[in-house]
This record gives sequence, structure tokens and C-alpha cells, in this order.
Amino acid sequence: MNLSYTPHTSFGVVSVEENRLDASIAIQFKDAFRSVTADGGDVILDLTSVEFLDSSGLGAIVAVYKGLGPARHMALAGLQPPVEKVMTLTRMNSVFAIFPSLDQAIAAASQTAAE
Amino acid sequence: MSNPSGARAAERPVPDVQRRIVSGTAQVREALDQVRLDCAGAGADDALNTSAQIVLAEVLNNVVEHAYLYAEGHPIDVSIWVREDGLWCEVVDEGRVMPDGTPPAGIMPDIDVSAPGTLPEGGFGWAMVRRMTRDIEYARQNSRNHLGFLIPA
Repeated sequence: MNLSYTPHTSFGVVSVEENRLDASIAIQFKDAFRSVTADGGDVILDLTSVEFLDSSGLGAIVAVYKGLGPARHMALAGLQPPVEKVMTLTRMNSVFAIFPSLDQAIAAASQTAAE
Repeated sequence: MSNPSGARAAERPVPDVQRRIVSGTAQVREALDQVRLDCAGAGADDALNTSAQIVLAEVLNNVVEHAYLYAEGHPIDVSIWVREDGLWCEVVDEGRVMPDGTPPAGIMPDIDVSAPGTLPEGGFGWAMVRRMTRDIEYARQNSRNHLGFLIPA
């Protein structure tokens, strides 16, 4: 499970460096996410590299979001069409702020932080 | 055409895609990649192939988790007929029978955006399968599960 963390002023970017976020790595994803976001503020989950998400991967995203607690927000960035399709089918697109690209998500988060 | 997976073996056409997978989540991941290439080679377009990836991932992982209880090394046979109306699929395994002898109803879990702490973390798999397929048929024959369905074009 390859995942990277980039801290910004008031938020951090977690990038999933895998082409599939699925049943075979869902548990490792949850562990890795929790360890890199143990301290800090809001999170942008960068899914740019992820070509495919299954229900286990989706469940893991929901689980880590809940694990952040009510005070921290999480946005999703860089959804490829199959990932977006799963988000839409399950209506999880109503839960998360979703940005077409990581740059747009960072711009929005930076603006929010400046206000 | 009628559902090829429902026809008698002797009468039905040879599948366009055929894969034997050995049970295991990593093996399913690898097989899905191969099936995507196979289906594209047999004429399925990107949108249909995306649907197939989503549906087959759920169906195959359900076999690994619920029919074989994560035991590795057991066979899962996937057959796909690429037709104008979509992908007719059949998945056969030798694991446990489905609960109540029938595929899950697959009701999409409720989401309450105002209460993030209550968001569901599971229950999406069969709900997505039900939303993305038609003509689901399930039979238990000779200690095997046969699941057939159409992923419409």
C-alpha cells in the first residue's frame, strides 16, 4: 500500500499511490491513512492515481473520514470516471466536497483557511 | 437473445471471455485487469467495461469473502458473452450456498449527510450489483453456485 502525505498550512494532502483502492488493500489503506493524519487539520484525499474503487475501498474511505472526528473535514480530489461512478451510485458524492483536480482542491482549502 | 447462462450447456455458445480465478482478494484484483483487457478485445467499449469492472469486483469479492470465507486456492470460473445488449456474465464457484438460497436484495444503504458519524461503511456491494445489472439468476447445482446476469450496454 503506497500512500504519501504532504502537509500544508492548515490542512494536509493524502495521496493514494495505487491504481486500485479495493478489497485487497482496504485495511492497509485505513492503517496508513490513520498514521499519517494522526495530527493535523482538514484532509484532502487525492485519488488522482486511483483508476478503480470497489465497495471495500469506498467503505475504507468512509471509515477514515469518520475516524477524523466531527471537527475535521475531508475533501476528495482527482476522481477518475469509474471512481466517480461508484461515488454517484452510492450517493457518497453528497457527503464529500469533490474537486476535479488536486490543484483545485488545494486552492479551495487555502482560500477557506485564509478567511 | 436469451440469457446464455440460463441455457443448457450443450446448446449455448462458447463464451467470448473465460477465466478461471483462484480464490483470494489479490487474485481477484489481477483477474479483473485481465478481464478488462479480454472484454475490450471482444468489443466492449469503455463505459461498459467500467460497469463490468465494478460489478465483477463485487461479485468476485463476495465469492472470496462469503462463499469461500477467505480460504485461498479454490476455483472461481468467469464466463462472459459480449453481445449488442451488453455483457452476459456467469460466475461459478464451489463455495457455500448463498444465504436463504437467493442473492441478497441489495438495498442501497441510507446516508444522512447531517450525521457523518452514522455513515454506513458497508452494504454497498450488492446494492451496486442490483443497480447495474438485469436478469440476475442464481442456481445451486452439484455443490456449485451459478450466478448469471446481464450488464446492459
